[in-house]
Amino acid sequence: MSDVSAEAGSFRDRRGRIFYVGNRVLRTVMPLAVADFDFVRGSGLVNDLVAEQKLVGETLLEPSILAGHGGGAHYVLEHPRLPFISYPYEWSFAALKAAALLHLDIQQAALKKDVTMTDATAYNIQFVGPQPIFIDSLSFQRYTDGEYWAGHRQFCEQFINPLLLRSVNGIPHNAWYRGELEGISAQDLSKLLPWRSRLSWNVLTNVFMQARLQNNSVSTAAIDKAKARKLPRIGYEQILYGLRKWIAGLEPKMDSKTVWQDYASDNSYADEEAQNKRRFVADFTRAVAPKVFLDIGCNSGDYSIVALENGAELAVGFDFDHGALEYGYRRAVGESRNFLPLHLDAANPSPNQGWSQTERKGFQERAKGDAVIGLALIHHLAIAKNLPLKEVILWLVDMAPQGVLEFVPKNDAMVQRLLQMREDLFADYDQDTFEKYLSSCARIVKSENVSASGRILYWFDRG
Amino acid sequence: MVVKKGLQFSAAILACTVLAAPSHAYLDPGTGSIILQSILAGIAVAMGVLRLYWYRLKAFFSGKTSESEQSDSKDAEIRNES
Repeated sequence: MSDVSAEAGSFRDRRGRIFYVGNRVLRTVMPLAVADFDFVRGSGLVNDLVAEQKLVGETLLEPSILAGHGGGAHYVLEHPRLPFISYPYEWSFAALKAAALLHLDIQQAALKKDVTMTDATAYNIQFVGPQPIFIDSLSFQRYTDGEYWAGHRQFCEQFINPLLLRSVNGIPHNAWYRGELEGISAQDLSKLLPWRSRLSWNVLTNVFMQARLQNNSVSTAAIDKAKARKLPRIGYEQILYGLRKWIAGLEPKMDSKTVWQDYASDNSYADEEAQNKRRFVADFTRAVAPKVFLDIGCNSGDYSIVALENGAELAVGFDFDHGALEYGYRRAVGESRNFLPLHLDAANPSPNQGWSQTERKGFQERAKGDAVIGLALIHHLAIAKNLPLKEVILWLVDMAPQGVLEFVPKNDAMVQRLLQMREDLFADYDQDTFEKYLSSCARIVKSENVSASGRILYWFDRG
Repeated sequence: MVVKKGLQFSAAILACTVLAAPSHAYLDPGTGSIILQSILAGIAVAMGVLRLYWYRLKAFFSGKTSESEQSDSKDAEIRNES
């Protein structure tokens, strides 16, 4: 088979790895993992979790399908392909929390069936709309009586500590997580948390005590003594239960002035401009019927929801504002919308990074949809961030064969505000040039003036 | 005294354990995490023992047998404390 490629991010666990054959997602199970694999499937855990949509589905295939590529795989599984891949450094606080709770739910369910998990990495969780789903079906192994929770430290670094950074210090986890990739260490976080946070038993033990004990000054004898003990099952269950209860209660620290309702678009239904935009996006979506709809500068997801109501299957939104993402995620969960808002600084999107710079893929490689919209966005990039207008348009048009972009003229109050304190260096920022740049890479299907200030929506098609 | 007995019991459980068989773990769990878990486990076991005595005490006053009290609250056994 010629079009087989190995997933670059799937190399840590030698018990199997992911391959792509065309559009299909296959997973090898190496002989090393077979005993655990058979035990875990025999326990019924995998079937239960798949039925509850907590774990990605799997079908056993003939291992010969990967002949020459699988390296002696005992089994080959096929998983359904997920519509969009995102990383924890792009998730909102509420999404990271939902992922943490899913991990603990799976651990608790697994332990009841004498199964435990080999790791606790957040990268094993993906989102379908706002719903987290576990994707590594080889993370399970037979539980040995008395064994420690091998993934505890990883769970702290990849879930708890980033959540605490926002919850206690009010700092969003995204930038730090993107820098470290493996999360935030207890040692680093313990230097940052205020002294009073020690009053929380969970923070005291999981952050401060762990940081202290991880310290090299712990004697080898103490380590040997701990290793020689077992973790009784009741202790394991207690730790999982305690963490779940604690994490379920964590909330982002709020600026006293911010309330979620500020993000609710309370005037959008009355506002004529917003009405026009909604109608335009609705017509566009009905015509294109996109599976994956990308909403760049989504705010709390108003137009993504319009798209979902008009035939889009999944809307993935991107925004810079952490509050908007938080509100958007809660709204998607609350209204059962297939919408996932993610963090994006358009001037500095997620890069290709990790081992060999291929382990975690950059935004540009993943942000491919059937439709894209960029409403009330381009002036922020071209004027507030000084990005070249032509490049911004090309960047957006590259994401999907069809889309809607909004041009906001210089006389608009928003643009005037951006230019208030600075010199206007943007000679090419006008409607004619905008149309010229857009026409150079796509056909303009339709355009409409949607506001008194002359905001214009362009429906493009580069197909 | 109950606390002392509980701790003795949990210490006994911990003391009579031997090395757990290493599984195919590819992840380094970290010394901090392991020592912490052994401490937390000790506390969890002590709490479990305390709860056992608590049920016995309740059973003594309510007239129910401690066994039936315990099975009534088997689920609560893990869930009551965090």
